[in-house]
Amino acid sequence: MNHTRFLIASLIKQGLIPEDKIPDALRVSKLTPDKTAWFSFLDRFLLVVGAVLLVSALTFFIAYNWTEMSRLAKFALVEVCIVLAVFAYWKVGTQQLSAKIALLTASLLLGVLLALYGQTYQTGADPWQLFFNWALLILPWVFIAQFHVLWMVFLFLLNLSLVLYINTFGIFFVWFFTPELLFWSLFALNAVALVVWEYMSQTKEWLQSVWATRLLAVVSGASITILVVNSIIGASVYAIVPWLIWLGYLGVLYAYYRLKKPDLFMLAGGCLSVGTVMLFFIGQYIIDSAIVSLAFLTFILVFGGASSKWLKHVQKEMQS
Amino acid sequence: MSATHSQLWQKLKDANLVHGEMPRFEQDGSPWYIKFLLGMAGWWAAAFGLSFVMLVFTIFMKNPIAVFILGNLLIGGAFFILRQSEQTFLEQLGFAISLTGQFLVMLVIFHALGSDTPKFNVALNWALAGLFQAVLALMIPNFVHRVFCTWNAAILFSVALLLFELPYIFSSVVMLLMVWCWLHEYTYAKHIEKIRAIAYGLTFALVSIEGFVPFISGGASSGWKTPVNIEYITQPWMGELLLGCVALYMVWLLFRQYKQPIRQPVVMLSLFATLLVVAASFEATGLTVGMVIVLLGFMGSNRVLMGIGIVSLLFYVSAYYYLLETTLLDKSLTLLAVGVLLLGLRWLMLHFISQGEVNAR
Repeated sequence: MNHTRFLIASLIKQGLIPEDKIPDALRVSKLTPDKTAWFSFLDRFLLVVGAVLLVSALTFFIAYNWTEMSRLAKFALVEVCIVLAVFAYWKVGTQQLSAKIALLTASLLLGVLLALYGQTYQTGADPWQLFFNWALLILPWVFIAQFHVLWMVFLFLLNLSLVLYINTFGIFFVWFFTPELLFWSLFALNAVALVVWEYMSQTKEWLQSVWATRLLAVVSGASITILVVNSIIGASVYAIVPWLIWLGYLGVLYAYYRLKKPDLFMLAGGCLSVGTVMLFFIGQYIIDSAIVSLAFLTFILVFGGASSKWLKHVQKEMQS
Repeated sequence: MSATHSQLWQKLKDANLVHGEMPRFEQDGSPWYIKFLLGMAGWWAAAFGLSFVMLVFTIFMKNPIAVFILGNLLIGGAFFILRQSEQTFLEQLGFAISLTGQFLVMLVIFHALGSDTPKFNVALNWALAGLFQAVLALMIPNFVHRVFCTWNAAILFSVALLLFELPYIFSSVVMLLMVWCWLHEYTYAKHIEKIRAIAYGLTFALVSIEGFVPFISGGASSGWKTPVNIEYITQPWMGELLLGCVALYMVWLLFRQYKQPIRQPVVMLSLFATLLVVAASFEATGLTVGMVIVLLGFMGSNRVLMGIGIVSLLFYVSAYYYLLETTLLDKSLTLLAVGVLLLGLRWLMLHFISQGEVNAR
């Protein structure tokens, strides 16, 4: 649709569509939605926003009445809402969007229930355990719902538990400890998730979500880039390892998103990663501050311009 | 030419909107993430460019007049580069040079301010800086540059009005301009790119102002329950009221684009529903803004704009938790009311307007 926006703008700018016919042209090209499109959109928009606001209202209400409510009332409130959400999923029809939203709501409320449990009984559990158990408990729903948003919630919880675990303990296994463990873990988790997601989406239509794969790529790409930059700054013994993995990651990214399933966003992210690493690499070897500024300026302009030109070339190929 | 080009041309030809052979289409504009990359790269380049200029011309940097002249020379140079070239490298160069020049000029504008400067003069300086950015947004022929300058201009004017003791209302002005720009995106053939860039700048500015003003204005929330601040002529509820009026205006404009007169039942009902939603979300800062942005995005089939609206809605709901002027119970009731209202409107829509009726109209 963005491409159609550009094409129509191009025709208007060239004067090929008279000014009084512009609204008709927008309608014919479906840039201006028709009544059916509005009906369908409002149906989803009101449902999703309404559901989010109801869940938020419940969260705020619990927070307000926290000290006054009895334990039983607190648990009953949340559990009834979970049951209602699951019932709504079953009643509406499991393939409907509203059903999937209901199951998503139930999944979020389960987290509220776990937080409530942890707070009420002071089990002494670490924060990472809350999110990890939350992720485990919603896993059956995640499989059943066949909803890409719920899968992303699941992955978000895994990421969060990982971050909290490492912040708490700092080591994964006794024999494997590095200061950059956090980023290695995030990179591994999200890179594997991205590969599996792309593989599974070839046969499962409901997994074909552009924003989900891009988000996974952003997290894994940012993590490995930080690791490489760290190896430049820190100059550690194991400096070659992040470089090798980073180069491999870029190679796979290029091979898949340039040749097999062209995606300009992924390639742009790769260029940003390369530019960032090279910027830090240059900065390590220039001492004079005025020359540093000039060198950085020149590098950004040259590399940025070259990347942009290449990406536009790829875009042109994709559109032809 | 691609299949998409041919299909579109044929559709337009079948509707008697165009004639003759399919022309050569301009090269497609870059997607938003490439423009974002360019903007970021330009920013970094300007930071390093400024650092280089300041290091090399250290002696001149102490003279405000020399800095002002240098800044304007750089902006002028950027203007000529950007006007004459569409090559990416030169675009970036022009953007970086302009940013460097702008920073120097802004440095001079704010250099004269001291701790004993009267508030009115401080406000005037901010307004002057905003005007400077607005002029650049209109004049410099570069998309990312226009977005950046529009965004800056709106933020600077917002701060100026706060210092003039007229806070809270500027977001409605920004929203009004934003709505007008998005709904007239294609109306003026020669200014499509300019209007689009300014619209994006205004959108980012509106999201920023609506998201942060309640926290920086002494923690004041919006709505009827916020205590009156006797320092200011304008109060938070006035800002929300004006935003509501702009939302109603947007709905009316939407129907006008479909050539639906206001007396049509569907128009009246839609305006009434909008009024209900605006009234219900009066206490919750940002909900009206977020929903308006999403609707504008859908109207223009603009997924980027819809994404901005969705993210801003989520942000506002989260930020609402931390506003201190209202209790969590009141916030909960407000969100409940809006949520139930939206679901209720959906139910009414599904039950009284069936799919068949929609197709038949």
